[in-house]
Amino acid sequence: MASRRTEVGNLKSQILQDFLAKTQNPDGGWGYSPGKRSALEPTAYALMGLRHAAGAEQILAMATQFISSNQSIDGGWPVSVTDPGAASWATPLVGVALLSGAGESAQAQAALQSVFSAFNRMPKSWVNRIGGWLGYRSSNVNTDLGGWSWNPGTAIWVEPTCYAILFLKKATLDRQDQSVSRIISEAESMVYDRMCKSGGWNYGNAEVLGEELRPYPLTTTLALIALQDRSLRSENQKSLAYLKQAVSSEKSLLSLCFAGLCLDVYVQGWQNVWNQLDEFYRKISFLEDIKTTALMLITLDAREGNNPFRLKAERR
Amino acid sequence: MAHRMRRRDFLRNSMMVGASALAGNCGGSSRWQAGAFRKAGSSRVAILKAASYEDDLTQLVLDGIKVCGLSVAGKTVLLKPNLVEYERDTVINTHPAVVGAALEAFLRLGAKQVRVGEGPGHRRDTDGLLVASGFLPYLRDTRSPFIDLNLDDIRKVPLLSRFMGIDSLYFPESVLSADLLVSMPKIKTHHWAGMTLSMKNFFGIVPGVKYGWPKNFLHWHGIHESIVDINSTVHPHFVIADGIVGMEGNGPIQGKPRACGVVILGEDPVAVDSTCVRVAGLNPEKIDYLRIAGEFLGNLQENRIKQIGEAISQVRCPFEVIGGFEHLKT
Repeated sequence: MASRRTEVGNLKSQILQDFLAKTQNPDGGWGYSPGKRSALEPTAYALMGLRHAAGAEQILAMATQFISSNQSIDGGWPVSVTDPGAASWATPLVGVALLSGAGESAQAQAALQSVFSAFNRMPKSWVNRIGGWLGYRSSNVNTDLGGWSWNPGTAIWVEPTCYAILFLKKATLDRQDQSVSRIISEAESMVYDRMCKSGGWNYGNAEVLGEELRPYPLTTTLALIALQDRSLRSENQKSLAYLKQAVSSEKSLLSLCFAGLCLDVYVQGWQNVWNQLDEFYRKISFLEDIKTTALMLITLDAREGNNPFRLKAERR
Repeated sequence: MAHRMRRRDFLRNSMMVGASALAGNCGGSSRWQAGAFRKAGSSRVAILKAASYEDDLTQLVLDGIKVCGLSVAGKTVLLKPNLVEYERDTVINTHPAVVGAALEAFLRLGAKQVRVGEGPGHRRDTDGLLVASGFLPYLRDTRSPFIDLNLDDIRKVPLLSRFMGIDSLYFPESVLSADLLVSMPKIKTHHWAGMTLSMKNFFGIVPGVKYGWPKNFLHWHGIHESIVDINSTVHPHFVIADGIVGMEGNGPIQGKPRACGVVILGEDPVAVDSTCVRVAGLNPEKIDYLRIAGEFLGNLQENRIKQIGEAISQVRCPFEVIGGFEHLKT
C-alpha cells in the first residue's frame, strides 16, 4: 500500500512538473496539446487537477488570472482564445472548476447567469414543423424538452447539457432557486429521454432509422455524474451496471478517468480502474493530450477524497 | 412498424424535395465565386488491386502516387483517414494498414513531415479510438504525430461556395497549414448521403470544439450542401480510398462488410469519388453532392476521367443499398 502511495505521488509529481508546468502557455492557460493556443476546457481541467498539488501555487495563480481575463461580459467563456467572444459550452466546466476552488464566487455567479440564459429547446426546421402539424413524429426523442447545445441556436445534446446541469446544481447547492430548479428538472428529463435502451448514453441518439445505437462509456459517466442526486432511479442503476461492465474492456484513458470519477461519486468500488491508470497513461502519453493528462491528476486526487465532480462535501 | 416506414418515407421525400430545389438552383455561378474554380479538362484516377490488408500496401500507395504524378518531396502532409467508431468485426474505419502504408510511402518520397489527423464525429475519447482501432502502433512506429482535428487551434475561413446559407466556417490550423491534404476514406454507403467517400470524409476536419459532437451543425445546414461548401473551400489534394473491404447496406456504421479488393487513388476528389461509386455499381450523378461538385469542383463524367490500372468493369463490386436509395442503381 505504501509503495502504491509512493508510485501515485511520483506520478502526480511527474504530471505536474514534467507536463502541466511545462505546457502552460504564457497567458496562463493550456491548449489541448503543447504549443496550441489556450482553450478553456483543458484549462478548467488543469485548474481542477492542480487544486491540491503541492508547489503549484504559481501555476494556479496564472491559470486563475487567465480564467478571469477571458470571462466575457455575459459571464461566459469562449471555447478558446482563437474564437473569442460569446459564451460557449465550456462555460459550465469553467464554473465547476471555479467552484471546486475557493474565492471566485462572483465569477461563478456571473457564469451561472450565462449558463441559465443558454438553456434552450430544439430548433425546428419548417419540415419538422409541417411534419408535426401533420401528426408525424420525425424523431425518436422528445424534442419539446430543453437542454443545452454545443453551438448557440442548434440542437441540444447530452454532453453540454450534463456539464450545465452539474454546474447549476453545484452553484445552487446551498440555496433554493425556483427558476434554476425548473430548468434543471426539464434538462434532466431530456437526458433520461435520450438514454439508450440497454442503459447508458451516447451523444444523444438512442436510435437512428429504427436501429438501436449503443451507449458510450464517456457520455454515460457524464450523464451519471450530472444525475448523481437521482442515484436510486432505475435508469441510473441500469446505466451504472452498463458502465461497470463497459469499463472492463475500455481502451481510452479519458473514459477510464471519468469512469473512476463517476464510480467514486456513486461510492462504488473502482479498484480495477485505479489499477489500470498508470498503464493507460504510459500507452498514450506520447499523444501529449493535456486535457486527459489533467484528468488523470484529478482522478488520482479523487482517490484521496478530492473529487470536484461530487455534489456534496468533497472530503469524505 | 408501418408507421415508422411512413415517417421515414416522409423524411426522405422531404429531403429529396429540398435536394431537388438545391440542384435546380445551382446551375449558375451565384452559389460559388465565378473564376475561383478551374476544373481540369480530365482527371487521372488509379484503381489498384489489393486482395487483403496483408498485401504490400506501401508499394501500392507508392505506385498510385507515381502514376498520378503527385509531387511530395519537401511537403508537409496531413493524412485524414475516416475514424468514426470502433466495434469489433466491423469495417467502419479506414483500415490502419492502409494509413500505415501511406505514412511509410509519403515518408519514403521525401515528405518534410507526415501527420495523421482526424476529428471523429461522434466520440470524444479519440485516444481509445486510436488504441481500439489499431492505429496506435503505426503512429508510434513511424513517430508520426496524431492531430485530433476536433481540438486543434481554429481559424474562421470564408466559404468559397454558398450552399449552406452561411458565409464562413472554422477549420483547424493543421489542415489549413498542410501543403498536401490526403483524404483517406473507407468506401461505404451512407444512410443520408448515399455514399461516403473522400469529400464526405472532410466532415472530419470541421472542429468539434466549435461545432460539437455529433457535428449536427452540418446536418442542420444540409449534408449535401455542407459537403460541397467544405470541399470548395478546403479540398483534398490527393485521395487514397480504402475499398479492400468496404461497407454496404446501412452505412456508415451499421452496414455489412463488402470485399472489393481495390484501393482507388487520384488528385481530383470528385473524379475519385465518382469512380468509387461506379465500382460500387451505383450512379454518381444520382448523388446530389457529387452532381453539384461535378459542375465546378472536379470531373464527374466518365469520359473526363482517365482510368489507370484496372478498368471499372473488371473490379465492379455491386453494393447493397437500403430502401430509399434504389434509385442510385439506375
